[in-house]
Amino acid sequence: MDKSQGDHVLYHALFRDKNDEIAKQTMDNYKMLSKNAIAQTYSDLYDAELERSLDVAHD
Amino acid sequence: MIKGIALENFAAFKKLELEFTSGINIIIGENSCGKTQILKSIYALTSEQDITSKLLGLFKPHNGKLSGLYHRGSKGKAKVTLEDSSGQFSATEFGSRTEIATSDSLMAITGKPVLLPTKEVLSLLPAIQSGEVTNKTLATLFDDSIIDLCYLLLSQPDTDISDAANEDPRLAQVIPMLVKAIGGKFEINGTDHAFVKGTFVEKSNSNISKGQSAKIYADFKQLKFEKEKSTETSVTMTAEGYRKIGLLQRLIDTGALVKGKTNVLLWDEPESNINPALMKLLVECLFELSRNGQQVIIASHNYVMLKWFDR
Repeated sequence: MDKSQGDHVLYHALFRDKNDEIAKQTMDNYKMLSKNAIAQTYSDLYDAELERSLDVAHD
Repeated sequence: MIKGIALENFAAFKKLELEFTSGINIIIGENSCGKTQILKSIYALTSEQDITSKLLGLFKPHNGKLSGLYHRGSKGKAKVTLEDSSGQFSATEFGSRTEIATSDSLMAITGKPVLLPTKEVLSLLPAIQSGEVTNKTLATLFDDSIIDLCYLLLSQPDTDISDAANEDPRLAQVIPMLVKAIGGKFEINGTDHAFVKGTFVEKSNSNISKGQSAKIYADFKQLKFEKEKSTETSVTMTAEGYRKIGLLQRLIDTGALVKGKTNVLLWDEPESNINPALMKLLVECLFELSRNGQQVIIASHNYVMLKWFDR
């Protein structure tokens, strides 16, 4: 993304609220999305991988 | 430009409103959160076809009726409303038991919308072009987004792709990028559908006289597609990921995706079947199209693609 060329990206995260209805969160900064199922899954995988490598090192 | 959409009692949505940028919009979320339904809703309301048949053709509800698109457990009418940048609206609504949707539009439809589904469709084109598959069979097999796209891809180019690239500086960026990524381009000549290996090269413009300055001479280099010899391949023998990128190339090629002619580019999971390394190039192409005034709305599940957008 090159803001000097006028690039603008909006991220719309859809999720289910406490009533099981679809709700949204819109941000123009990807990192600011808190309802981000994709990033959360990668974060969980990264943590699991880190934990596994620490266990291996500890053994 | 589509400024926003409001959905009420429609399909997966009890009530939802989204506002869009004129640039690139990315809809993310878990499966069954309605990402594709939003793309199809925008497509339906920016199409010129009768809204009831368009909604049924795109969504294909299980009972074949609009009631199958009504949000379960709701009260009141189902409504979908689009707003454009000039504050004009296009709306449709229907009750839980009605079979015809009413529509009302003050929006000036500036060009056709383009909806790219998750599947590539280039391999379907020869069968559709042959006329051996009836419209009824097509409608049984595919939803309207696939059928509409097939006919758009089969349309003949207004101008040669090299001419288009030379006339529009932005396309001159995008077309060679796409062709370089897949090592050639998809062509339809009559009933011959093929992937042709080759690349774009810069050629000096022969109309510039030798007496003119070196700078003018350099500025007037033109892009020309050069085929490799005897390298035509059947479409179905090319990688499916290449065929996905080929959709974009062919749409530009036919003039269906050019500034002022296209309403909005809607793309459902552009990342499907594409290697993460190629995703970077695809994102760069979408940025170039956006810089050319093309509004883009995509739905994505892919972390790598999102990170390329975020860089």
